[in-house]
Amino acid sequence: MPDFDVAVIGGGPAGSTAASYLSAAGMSVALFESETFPRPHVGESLVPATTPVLLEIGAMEEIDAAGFPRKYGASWTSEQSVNVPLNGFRGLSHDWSAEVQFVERDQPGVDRDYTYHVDRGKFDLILLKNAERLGASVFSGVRVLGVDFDDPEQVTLNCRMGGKQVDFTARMVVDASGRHTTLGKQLKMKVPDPVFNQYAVHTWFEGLDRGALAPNPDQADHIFVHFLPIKDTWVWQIPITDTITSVGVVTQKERFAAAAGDREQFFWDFVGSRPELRDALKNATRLREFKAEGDYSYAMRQICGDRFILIGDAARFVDPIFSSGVSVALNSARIACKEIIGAHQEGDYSKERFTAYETKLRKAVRNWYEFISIYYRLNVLFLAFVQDPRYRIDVLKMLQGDVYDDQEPKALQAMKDILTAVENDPEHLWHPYLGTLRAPTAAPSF
Amino acid sequence: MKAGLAQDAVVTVVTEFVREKFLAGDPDGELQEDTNLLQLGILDSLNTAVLMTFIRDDLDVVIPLEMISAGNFKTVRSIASMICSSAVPSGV
Repeated sequence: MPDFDVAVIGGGPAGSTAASYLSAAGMSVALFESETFPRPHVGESLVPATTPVLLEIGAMEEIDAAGFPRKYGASWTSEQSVNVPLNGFRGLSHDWSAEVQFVERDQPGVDRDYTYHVDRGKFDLILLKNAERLGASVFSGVRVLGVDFDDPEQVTLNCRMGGKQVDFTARMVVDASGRHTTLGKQLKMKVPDPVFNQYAVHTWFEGLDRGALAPNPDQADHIFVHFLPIKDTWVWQIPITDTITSVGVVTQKERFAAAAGDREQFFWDFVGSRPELRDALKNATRLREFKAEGDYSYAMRQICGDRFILIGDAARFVDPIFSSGVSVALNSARIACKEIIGAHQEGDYSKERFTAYETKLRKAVRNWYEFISIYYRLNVLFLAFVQDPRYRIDVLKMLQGDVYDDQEPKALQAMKDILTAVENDPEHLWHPYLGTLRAPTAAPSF
Repeated sequence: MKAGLAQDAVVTVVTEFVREKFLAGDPDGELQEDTNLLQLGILDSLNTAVLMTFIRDDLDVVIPLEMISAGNFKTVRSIASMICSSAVPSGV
């Protein structure tokens, strides 16, 4: 008989959520986390689609009590006015800002009009403790080196514990190893995304004047996406506490490589293209070293198989633009666990038991993927849609992370149609603004 | 604003909007109805989107985004004539 019903690789939000659901359903669960929490992690802004999951696993009370800044919406800004005379005209203005608030659209299962920005060190620890509270056996500081699938009756996890190698057995394994992609690599299922090869450099600042950067000071605690006047490049600004702000520059990896500097130089060079943003940051104090994230745009040929299932970043990650990371982690865990509990009841852990999960997740991620592709291809289109009453609520639905039901958002089809028209019409005023990233016309293979 | 939009009135409204929104009020009164907005960098992609929002919300005329062409947006006059020819009589 195996040591556990289910072994979970990784104690981030996906792994902890899965361990919570499965333990609550009465299964014996082992969770292996290579690090010792709390530890810093990128991906700090949530979307409201996390709320129903946090309520279901019983973690919301602790989250509410943690004092994380409330996130009521999202704002975007573009470059500010050019105050020097140009072509004979003074005061040429090309600034733009837009915002949405979650309160504008009711969302099934969501009991509030805000979500949170979180310090992932604290947030992830709360979720891990929640899994432990519900009965999961949590092994911290234990790295899973590989999984042996040779025995048809069980899986064997080869783990490094201190200086020793130890094996554990389970009926099945859930890979929530994040960008380590433990099973994706081992089973050679990982494929780099054909379009995106994004790169981010980020850090925390103390004392950034968020109010001064916000067109509307009431919205200073929104997530801010600042467009830089550099193609495919933007800056995130996420409140972590009243005084601490996370700031990151996202660009294509080749632009970082071409910049030929270190992370710090790259950050300031790129942020310098928006002087008011650079000045505000220079007046704040940097709290952490610059950290880089790369090679995170990939897919998996399959996300389930006999006795295994992949969730969260271990299954798929595209780009941080719409704060979808933690939401995909939590919701993929939720959907996967439904199938795992069914598999456990039937005593059948074969791939067929999990295909409903795969279908559902791929469909949701395809919507995300197309939305993200269009955003990069022509981001003025995104801004125009946010301002357009015909599409605003539909775009907001995606921004809320509410993508797991069956319909394709109608705004997405309308955006695709207009994008095609702009691509085919060199006379269109937006034609010169088309980004260099171009998604394949066929639906992306996951 | 619907059927029978007077082109002169639309020219005035659009001129005023472009002055206030994109030219800091145009203190020297340089903007004319045949000023080339594209060549002079007054309209870029973002400003065309701002202008489209204004046309939709304030003039109540929906211009399909596909129509944002150089021909239609070259001058205040061409913008006004595009608006007038796109205006749908109310009740239709």
